[in-house]
Amino acid sequence: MSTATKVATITVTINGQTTQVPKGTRIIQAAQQLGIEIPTFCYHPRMRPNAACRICTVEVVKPMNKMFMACSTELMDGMEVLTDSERTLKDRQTNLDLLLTQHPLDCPVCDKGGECKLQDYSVKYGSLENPFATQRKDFPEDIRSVALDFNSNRCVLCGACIQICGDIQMVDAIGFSKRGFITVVGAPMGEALDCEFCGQCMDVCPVGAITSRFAKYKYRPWQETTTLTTCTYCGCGCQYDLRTVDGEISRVTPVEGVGPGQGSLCVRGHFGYHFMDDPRRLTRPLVRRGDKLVETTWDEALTEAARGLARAKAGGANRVAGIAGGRMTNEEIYLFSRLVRDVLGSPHLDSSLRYGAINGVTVMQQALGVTGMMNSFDDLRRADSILLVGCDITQEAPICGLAVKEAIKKGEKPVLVADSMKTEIMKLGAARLVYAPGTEVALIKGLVKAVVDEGLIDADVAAKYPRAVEAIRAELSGTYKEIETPTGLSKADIVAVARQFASARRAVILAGPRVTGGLKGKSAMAMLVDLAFLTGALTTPGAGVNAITMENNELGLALLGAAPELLPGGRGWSDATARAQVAEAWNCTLPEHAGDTMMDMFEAMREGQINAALISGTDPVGRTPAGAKVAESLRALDCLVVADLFLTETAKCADVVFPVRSYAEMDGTFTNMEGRVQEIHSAMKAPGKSRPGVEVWSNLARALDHPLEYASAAEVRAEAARLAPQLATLGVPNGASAGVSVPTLEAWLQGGYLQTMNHRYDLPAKLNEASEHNFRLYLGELLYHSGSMSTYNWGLMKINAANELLINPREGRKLGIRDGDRVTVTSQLGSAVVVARADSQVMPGTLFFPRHSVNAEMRNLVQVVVGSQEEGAVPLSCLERVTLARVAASAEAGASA
Amino acid sequence: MGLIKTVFMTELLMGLKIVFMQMFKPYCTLQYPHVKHPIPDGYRGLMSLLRYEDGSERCVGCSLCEAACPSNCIKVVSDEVPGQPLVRYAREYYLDISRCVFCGFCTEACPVDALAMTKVYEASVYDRRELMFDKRKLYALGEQFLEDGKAYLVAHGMDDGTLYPREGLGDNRYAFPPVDTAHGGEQPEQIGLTREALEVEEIR
Repeated sequence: MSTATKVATITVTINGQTTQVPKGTRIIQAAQQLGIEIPTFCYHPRMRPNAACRICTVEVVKPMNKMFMACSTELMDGMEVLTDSERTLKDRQTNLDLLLTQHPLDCPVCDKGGECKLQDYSVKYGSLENPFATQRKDFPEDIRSVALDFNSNRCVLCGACIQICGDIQMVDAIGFSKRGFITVVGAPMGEALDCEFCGQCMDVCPVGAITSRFAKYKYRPWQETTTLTTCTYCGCGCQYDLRTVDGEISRVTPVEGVGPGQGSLCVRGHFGYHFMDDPRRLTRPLVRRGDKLVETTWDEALTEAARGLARAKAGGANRVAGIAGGRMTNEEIYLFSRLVRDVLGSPHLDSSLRYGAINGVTVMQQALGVTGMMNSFDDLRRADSILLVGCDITQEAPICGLAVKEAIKKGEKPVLVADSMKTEIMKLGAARLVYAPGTEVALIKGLVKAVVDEGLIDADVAAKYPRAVEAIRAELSGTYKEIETPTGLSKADIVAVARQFASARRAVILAGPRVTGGLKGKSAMAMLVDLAFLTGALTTPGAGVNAITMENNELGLALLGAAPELLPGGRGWSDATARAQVAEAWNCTLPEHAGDTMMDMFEAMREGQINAALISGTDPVGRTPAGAKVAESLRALDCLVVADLFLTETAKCADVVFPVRSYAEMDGTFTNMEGRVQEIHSAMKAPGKSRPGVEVWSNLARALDHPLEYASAAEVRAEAARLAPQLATLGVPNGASAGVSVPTLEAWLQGGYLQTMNHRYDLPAKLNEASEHNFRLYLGELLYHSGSMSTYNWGLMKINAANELLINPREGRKLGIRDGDRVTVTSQLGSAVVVARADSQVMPGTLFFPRHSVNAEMRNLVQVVVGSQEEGAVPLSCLERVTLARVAASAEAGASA
Repeated sequence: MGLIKTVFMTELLMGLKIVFMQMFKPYCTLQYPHVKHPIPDGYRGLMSLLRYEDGSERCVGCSLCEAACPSNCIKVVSDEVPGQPLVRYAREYYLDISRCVFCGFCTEACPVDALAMTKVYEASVYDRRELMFDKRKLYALGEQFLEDGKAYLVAHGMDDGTLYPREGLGDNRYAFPPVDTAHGGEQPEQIGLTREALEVEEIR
């Protein structure tokens, strides 16, 4: 926080204890600091006081003798408060008595029973005889929604649920309806609740009025064991309590004020806990016998894997490849990369970072020496302006989205959104730039051009670094026409956004997967760094430029060097000192030339130059379109070893499959997008004979006669931390205190900068526009799914099966497509039949389909474009997300209607 | 004197006098197991689960008995009745009688009079595993010794003999939705133990 405004302190007395608090502190906050409990239903530390439940009344004796609401009354200097006086207790008792005239007393069958505030307060402060006549409510419980049940009989009408939905989640899905004794909470007009099901209303409900459908009657709070662990669904890395009963997961609850989310969870975090005990989990190792994979013992599977890998290794240099996944722990990634690079002696190591934020991560590293985000979520909360480019933050990183939403609340519409859909955040933000899908590079160029042309360059930057500013200016000689045509935006719009962004003091840029994972993603990211540089965001504390990572440990992959161009510690492979350091630590030699990237590996496999591969925690076959020919490549291998939780499409191609454990069944750490290293803990029974990844790779190394033995995951981390010091810190963004030497902005501006300048501002070639394909199919992120594990959750699949094609409502009407109709989507590569639904977020001429859908037909409509080498060291191999498709009402839909 | 006593075996006769006197007094030894003591109503014997009069399960699976149990011998696995949304029941109920200390706290914790103790105290078996009572056996016991259970609850002041009815007890006692046996509830059934086998046998 800014230190300039000094807040005056005042002296107050609560229950005889005198304390000093900053002015503006409310009674309940001061009491909590002193360890004095004041009962409350509606007070929440992250929300404005609501003062609805009236249970927190306390007696103020000085300066006036009166009853006050502790949650909403700000303390005055010299105030004296009594929270346990006779008068206070009597008021409290009366309030409880009044609540209990209505409350149904069904505690034995209420899921809140045992952790219910009303229950606790009744025991502590309630009376034995209720003097009031009872008037029990008898509303039927609303179980129409997929995830949340509303029992209005139990409701104490404190309004906390409505407030969190409106103020923090900013969705406004629920509200009070009716008046007086029959007031109920629910979706408007008595409809069934159909929101994004973040479940936060359930968390703040002090009684059992809102309960989870998925955990219904499955637990009692006192039976549960709680384990603080880290969510695995996106890069946010929220901390939550995983609750288990007898080793089986019962539910997930947030922990107030802990972790990046500060106690907020999204739908995936809250309800995505069903994949761990899914019956489809692999329980025993599998080996290939002919066409079939048969169950076997660990000894046999390890021997067979080791034999196959050793055979390939003996066959020639660099004939083994390794692909790691972003849901492995840091420890697993480290050991996996050591296994591939040291034990198997191959530089061909890549990871799911390749189809993720590799461009964002490498550009940030080269430019600023930061692995991960430059700003923390706290910086976002305090930002004066946030520019979101190609980033549907509420879907891609929902909790980071909450930080952005908090910045929005500061007023003056500080969030600027550029996207190819009318995203949720766009509806809340100020300036919107809706560009044609796939034209991010042109848009960003436009923004940089606007900053340069309109004289919006930060004065300090222009004075200090004239050479760099001139170099950028020289690249922007083109006209606005070349930006307006592809993006479909006008110059005025772009300039307005650039002006607004440049004028903000703490300005933050968030680049989404469509920037980093698009064509020319590296250039696009570098241009955003330029934009931040020119507007002074790189030199202002609390401001900066950031790339969002999608998978939960994508940054761990970068930090531990699970990409051919990276080394542990997030340093580049081209860095000879770093390479020597790693080689010394591992007692091996590392070749000068970096290994192949994933797409090159697949080609080498088809051509027989790579004969064996290790794949862990990712499913390249299931994630790439058939056009990428990944399955063919993998089948061409002599030996493919896959470690995963389920028999994925990739695992089906394997010769040996190892069943590994999920995050809930082992210890380790994950690195979130801010660079926070956070622990996970074993909380539940692991299925069958599955082993933690760390153990598997250690066992495999032993089977390859190169023992890598560790007593625990922590020991692996200790070793990894010698090469990647960031790992030694826990819970701090960017490994802030790790003593990592960060190359400064100056280092980048001296030379490093100009090396990649060439062609940075060239626009990519236009998409192949076949005339009959008049829609752009756009595979994007969905809040409910993150691809790797979410589709194995029956709960999440019930909320959203990720199998609907979204179409602009007006165009849908024009084509006669109603919600739920089956439609045929055709591209140059084939056609697929899916269910369509109209959604106003989708722009005309665009179709949206979830990227993580299990529907392979739709995925196969998309072409794979492997990026060219034009950008220096990194050949891009991102999946093209935009193709052209045609929609026609399906014949069979007409028949059924 | 001593010699006379020795010759005429007076000590023996004095002893026999007691014997002969006792021969004409009534018995006080009970020929267990052929003859058994009457058991008072409040006796805390084997645990049983009770049903409503229409045969539906009383237990709502609230696990309060489990929480009250000092020897941790009860395990309740609660769930929603399949096909009956919002009705809670004990999908599984285990009571390890070998660990039970017969304190009766569980019956006091029960909000629906589903638990009651019977007068059965003969729990010895040849296989210890039989001492792990499951839901089926507990309900069968309740079925058989319903009168014992009712009497137990009355004797301990937990009930007035009518048992907690399905429709609740007025304003301040919640009417728990009944578990429909057609869905997930157990059908009433008998187990091997019969009342007759436990009847007092007369001495021949």
